[in-house]
Amino acid sequence: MTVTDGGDLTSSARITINVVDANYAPTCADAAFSIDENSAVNAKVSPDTAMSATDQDTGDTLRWTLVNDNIDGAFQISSTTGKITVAKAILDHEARPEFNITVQVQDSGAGRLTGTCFAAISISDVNEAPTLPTLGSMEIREDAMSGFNLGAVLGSDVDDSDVLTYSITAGDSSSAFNIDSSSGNVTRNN
Amino acid sequence: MKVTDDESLTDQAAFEVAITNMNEAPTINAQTRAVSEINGAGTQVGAALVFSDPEGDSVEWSWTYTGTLFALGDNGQITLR
Repeated sequence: MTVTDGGDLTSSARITINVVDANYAPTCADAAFSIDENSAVNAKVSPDTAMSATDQDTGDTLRWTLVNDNIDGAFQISSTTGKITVAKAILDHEARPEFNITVQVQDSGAGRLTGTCFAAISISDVNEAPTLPTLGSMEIREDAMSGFNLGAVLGSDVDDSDVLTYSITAGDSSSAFNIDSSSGNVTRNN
Repeated sequence: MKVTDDESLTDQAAFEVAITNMNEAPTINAQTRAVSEINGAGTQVGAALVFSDPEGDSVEWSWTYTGTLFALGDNGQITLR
């Protein structure tokens, strides 16, 4: 550095500028995953990849947490690896087909700076068995005509859009009764 | 000024000596400034550099720095580019 006065006389000296290291906030990238409903605790989401983050500071260690919309605490994230797994075996496609969880990554530098991103987790439908209620007894006169309607049995199925088919599997060796495969209506046979 | 003869008679008279100012060089000493790496263009890198000049002259600043990180203002203030 040189200073020069009006008479062109000068003086020079060395100037030192110290650039002070500062902590930069980490950032993380949104990611999408899927997992089957009814998955067990600790089941991994698919793909089996960790959330990814970047931090400009060398030496910062990152810590992961799920901070929002992890409804009913269904999922957990490894604080060190950023991998998401099932925390509670309550995943139900019909009740909640997708989670969009806010994920936070926090660095170890001054101020413990954070970044947030989203993990979208699609809950895949798995075919679940239909159920048939325990039927009460039905009564029919022995001289009932063919086609006499005894009433319908009504099954249920938790899967969206599953079509149910009814059939008599046992106890009617003489084929005295018929069940309509689509309606469940039971009638007297010939 | 005083004059004395051999019989100790004297006379005195005043006269002036004018001191002509000679310009003296300004002085700048080695200085250190600090700045955080996270800052935008125009951020001041510490306080303006200081100098002294016996006559109180203003000075022009110049440096041999050729990098692109810092700029030098007329008042000796270094800023981020």
